[in-house]
Amino acid sequence: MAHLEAEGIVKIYRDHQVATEALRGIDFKMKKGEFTALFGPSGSGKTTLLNILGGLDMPTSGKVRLGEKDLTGLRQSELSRVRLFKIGFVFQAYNLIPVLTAIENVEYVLLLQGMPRNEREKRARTLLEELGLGELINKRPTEMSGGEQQRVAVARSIIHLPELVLADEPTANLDSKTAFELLDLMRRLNEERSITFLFSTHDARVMERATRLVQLRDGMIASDEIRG
Amino acid sequence: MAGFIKIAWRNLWRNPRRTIVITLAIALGIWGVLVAIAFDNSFAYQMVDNFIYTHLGHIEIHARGYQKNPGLRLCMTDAEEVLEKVKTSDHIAGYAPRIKAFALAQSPRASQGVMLVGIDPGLEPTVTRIKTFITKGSYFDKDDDRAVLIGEGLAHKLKVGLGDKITFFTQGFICEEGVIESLRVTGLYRSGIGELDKTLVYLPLKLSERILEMKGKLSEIAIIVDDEKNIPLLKQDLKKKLFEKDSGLTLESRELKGAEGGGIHLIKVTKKRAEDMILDPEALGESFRLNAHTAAVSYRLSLPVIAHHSTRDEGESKIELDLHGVDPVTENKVTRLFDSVDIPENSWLAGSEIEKELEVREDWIILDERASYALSAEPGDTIMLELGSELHLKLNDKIRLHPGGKFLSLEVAGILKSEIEQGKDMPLAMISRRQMWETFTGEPCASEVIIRLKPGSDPKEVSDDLVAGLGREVLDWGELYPLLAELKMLMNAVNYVFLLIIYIAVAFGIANTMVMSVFERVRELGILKAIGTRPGQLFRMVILESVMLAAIGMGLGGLASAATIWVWARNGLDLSMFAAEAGESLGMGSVLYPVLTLENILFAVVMALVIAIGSALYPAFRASRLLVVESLRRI
Repeated sequence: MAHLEAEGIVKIYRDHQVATEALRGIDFKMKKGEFTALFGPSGSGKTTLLNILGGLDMPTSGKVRLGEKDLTGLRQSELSRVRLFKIGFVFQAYNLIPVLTAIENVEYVLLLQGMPRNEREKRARTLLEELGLGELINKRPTEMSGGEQQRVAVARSIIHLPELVLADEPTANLDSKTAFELLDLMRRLNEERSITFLFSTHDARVMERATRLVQLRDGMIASDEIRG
Repeated sequence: MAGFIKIAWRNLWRNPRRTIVITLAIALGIWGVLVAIAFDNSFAYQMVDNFIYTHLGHIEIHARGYQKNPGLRLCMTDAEEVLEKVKTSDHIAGYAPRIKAFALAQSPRASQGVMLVGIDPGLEPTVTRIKTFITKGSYFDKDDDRAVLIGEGLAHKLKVGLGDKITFFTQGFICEEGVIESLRVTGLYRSGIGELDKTLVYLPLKLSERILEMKGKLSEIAIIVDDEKNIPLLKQDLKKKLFEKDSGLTLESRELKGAEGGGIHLIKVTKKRAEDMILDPEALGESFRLNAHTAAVSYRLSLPVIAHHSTRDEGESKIELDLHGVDPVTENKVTRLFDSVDIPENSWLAGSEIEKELEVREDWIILDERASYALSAEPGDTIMLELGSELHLKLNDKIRLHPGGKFLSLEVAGILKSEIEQGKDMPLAMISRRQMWETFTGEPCASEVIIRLKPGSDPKEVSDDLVAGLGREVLDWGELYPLLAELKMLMNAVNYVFLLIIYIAVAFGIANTMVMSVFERVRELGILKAIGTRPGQLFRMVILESVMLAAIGMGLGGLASAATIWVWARNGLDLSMFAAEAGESLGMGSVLYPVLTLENILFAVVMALVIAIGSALYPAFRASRLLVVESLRRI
């Protein structure tokens, strides 16, 4: 049974009298533990699809199911809860809270979950150290490089052991070396912790690491290839 | 919550310059509000405080109606009993019995209307600061029995100084003809309330008792409470203690007989126990006289006497008479009785208004026709009176009559043609009431008080009203001087207007800061929402930032206010250069000291918090309603 399932997703943006069809009936399924790359040119609908799959945006029509839950039928507060407990997000850039240190950024999700302070601090510290980010623990985002920020963001996205991590062009602002390091980290987490990853990209380096490649073009799936 | 507080706190300091500017603005607002309130309060509280400790006290006890109609006769005739109840009450820090009377003060150079205030030199300083107000001379010594303290204002007006004599003209409790007394100024005082300094003349209580015929009576008792919070408690307690369920009086309605006949109602007031007399009838009569339906009041003393009349032809005639002591003028106002007296043409009374003539000359008796016949007495004859032999009775605790003790020799002035209502079936006669008091009772008393009602008055309703008007009144300073209470309320209202104006400006400042703060981090708020922050949590976080902003401002403003007020309280604010006389005439002195109540501070703090929350509502709402996808598109 599919872990994540999108069925007939259509998304139309309306600006005054002009309607733009961003997604045109997407049917998409993902099993648990997949490491999938969503690629395609700019404007193909990658970010829109990721937003809809993560419950950040609603489709004009169609359904999204995460496990047993139909995300398209939930209220905002219920969606917040699903995102809090089941989904992790990594955004393109500028995605850490600037007033918090690395460890506080990572802890934040646990804070929202209501975990006691000592426990969440211990968990965040352990994770950051495991990911080789121990030196960044007390640094604020302004004191970190782009790659370091993105790795902390990945740590934040998995601290609560989500079922699914959605990453929107996570390497877009990174140099090659840093991009590979980040991809290695995500792949390691995917393999060691069986976390399902779905990330959008148009970076060939990223696509090489994916176990499944889904190509989007003009709001539709153009190809879907499962690799080794 | 601690996590959100940390985030909110750090958010405040993303833009330190903006945060510092707005917190300083809030601090300035709070400082302005608190200092302005302290300044306003200093006027109102100082005025109230001065009036309370200069004369009013926190609570005063009077005879009911005195506050409205302050006169010597409307007094408490059972002073000792009332004082005992006051002394034994809880929460009393001081009490001062007083006798007060209006008088005309005359010096060789000027005259001025004043209020004589008889005070107990030992007790008065427990209520007022009169002892500390003395600027020249000294407060009363134990031996002072002809001394007065006057205000500097009055001294200036009368052009007198220490050691000079002032002559006072007033009426005594009984003596309506007037009392003239010359007393020496032994001290000058300055209270800080110009009007009182020109009006109040203090003299020892014992001296005032003597010259005003007020022994055993008091005009008022002023009280200072141990804590102002206890004023309502003590007031209630005193009301309960001083309340009398039963007036001990019987009120009967009568219709006036005689010339005027019909339509004019009288109310006859007697003691419930027929053998009891009404003591101090002037005080009771004064209370009745002040009723809006009362046209006139008189009181009579009725005693059985033995009358003797000797003639050459018939020897001595001796009968028992029901003798009425009346005041001719007031009696005639009430019953028109003297209109029915038959005066011979050759009498000294012929052609005059007899009640006025009889008030001046007191050695007269008017007999009714039965008495005249039984005694064979005509106008011009002399009658001897002595107390009735059966009067071996104690009429009440105070008055004892001794038959055969004293005699009165009076000239028959006329014959009463009209009937006077009486309980006894015996001949009747009238003499001057004062003669009766002096000869038989030794002090003022009455058997009955007669009230003539204004036309159209309902005797039943008026009777109830008259009884309700008896007893004592217990009033607090706000009731004694409503203007003070109103002034205090007005100042409070002004304070709140100040507060409102300043806080409106503060509200705009906070709102502006929070709106800016929210709109410049839309993307960040979007991320917070994307990773699971609920809209309510974002809403609270923005509100928290605003409250913190206000709290820092309040803290700084509070410190600045405390420092300002501390310095001000130590040194006072001397306005004497600008408006010393205005300050004194308003009763607040010329040096102002700040007053800030806990209520003021709490109100300022609570309002600041309300403003902080209120002004952050809109940005907080916007933050909570942000659409994640749109927020993430922002750079």
